[in-house]
Amino acid sequence: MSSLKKIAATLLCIILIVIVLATIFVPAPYAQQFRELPNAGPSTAHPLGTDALGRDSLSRLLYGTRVSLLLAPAAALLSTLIAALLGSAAGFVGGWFERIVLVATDLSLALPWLFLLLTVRALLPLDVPPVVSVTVAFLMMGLLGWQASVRVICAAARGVRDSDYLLLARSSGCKPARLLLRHVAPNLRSLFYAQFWISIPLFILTEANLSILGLGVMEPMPSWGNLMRGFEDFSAVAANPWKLAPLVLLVVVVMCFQLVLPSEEVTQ
Amino acid sequence: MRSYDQPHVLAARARGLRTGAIFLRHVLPVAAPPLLALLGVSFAIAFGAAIPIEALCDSPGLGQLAWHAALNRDLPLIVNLTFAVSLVMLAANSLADIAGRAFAGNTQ
Repeated sequence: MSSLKKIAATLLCIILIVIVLATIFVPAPYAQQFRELPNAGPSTAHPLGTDALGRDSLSRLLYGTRVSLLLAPAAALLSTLIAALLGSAAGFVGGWFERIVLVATDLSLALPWLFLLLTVRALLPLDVPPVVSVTVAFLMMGLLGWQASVRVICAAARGVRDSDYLLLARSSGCKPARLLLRHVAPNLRSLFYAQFWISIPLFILTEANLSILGLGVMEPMPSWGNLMRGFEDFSAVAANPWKLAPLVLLVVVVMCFQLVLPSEEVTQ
Repeated sequence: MRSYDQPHVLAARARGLRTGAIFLRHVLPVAAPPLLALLGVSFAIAFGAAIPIEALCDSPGLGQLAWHAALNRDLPLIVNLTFAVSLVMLAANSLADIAGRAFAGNTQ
């Protein structure tokens, strides 16, 4: 493990601990308005100032980090599960099943990802409570984001299919379900971990993209995308650089995730 | 840029070709297929990035149109937009594929 990796992992751990303990030291609940102090600068009571509605920016940032960092791994877990099931089954069964799965994967990979998400989001009702919007965003990303992983897992499962230990298991009378669950899946486990880890930063960015467009997590629930919604007003951001805090945190976390990715020799 | 280490480049250099000629005639054709494949993929990234960029910078375009259509739940518009962008991406990917194959055929 290189020192850069260690630093990134430490940073991620610190951020995780901070957001788990956020309730203890946030200045105020994320939706509480201080109506006499809208758009205030940093002060001891509000270390990052307040937003246009007078809500404390630091508490919104902490709770937003919580939402984003919970949502992305959840979506990554769902998409990796789908990809693991489809990919290993397709690679293991082979024949027409594999061909159908791969053609379907190629077809959905050819669709523009963000346009597809916008379309699916527009199909669902937009005026929903914040908690429902979080669930919808997570389900949507998880159910639509499995294609790239399926291809990788399918290729690996195809290699396992012709292996000697699978021949031995088959000759001793294993049923296909047992072969798949006890012999194929455990051998692809490191690949599943890698795919899960790779998709987390991707889903963090997608969630931020959707929320910045007002189609992800709904107000008053904060998330990184929501907190960055005021950025189109460049002069206001230039005058109040502390408003860039969510962007800085997003960049740092995504970079840390990329740095601590499992290395080649682990995934092979 | 692993292509610079290959023996045919060394041979070209030994024959006294200049750097520019080696790059154009011996390195670029070999490196072209993966670069072209990358070009096809970057189309998808570019179209995806158009949505937040156009929404943030308030400049009219396909991305902003799709955004407003999604916010107003204008389903026919956004479905057809997605379809149109998919067609453009399909064309770009196919062209990159054909060009890549042509290059691969030339070098073999």
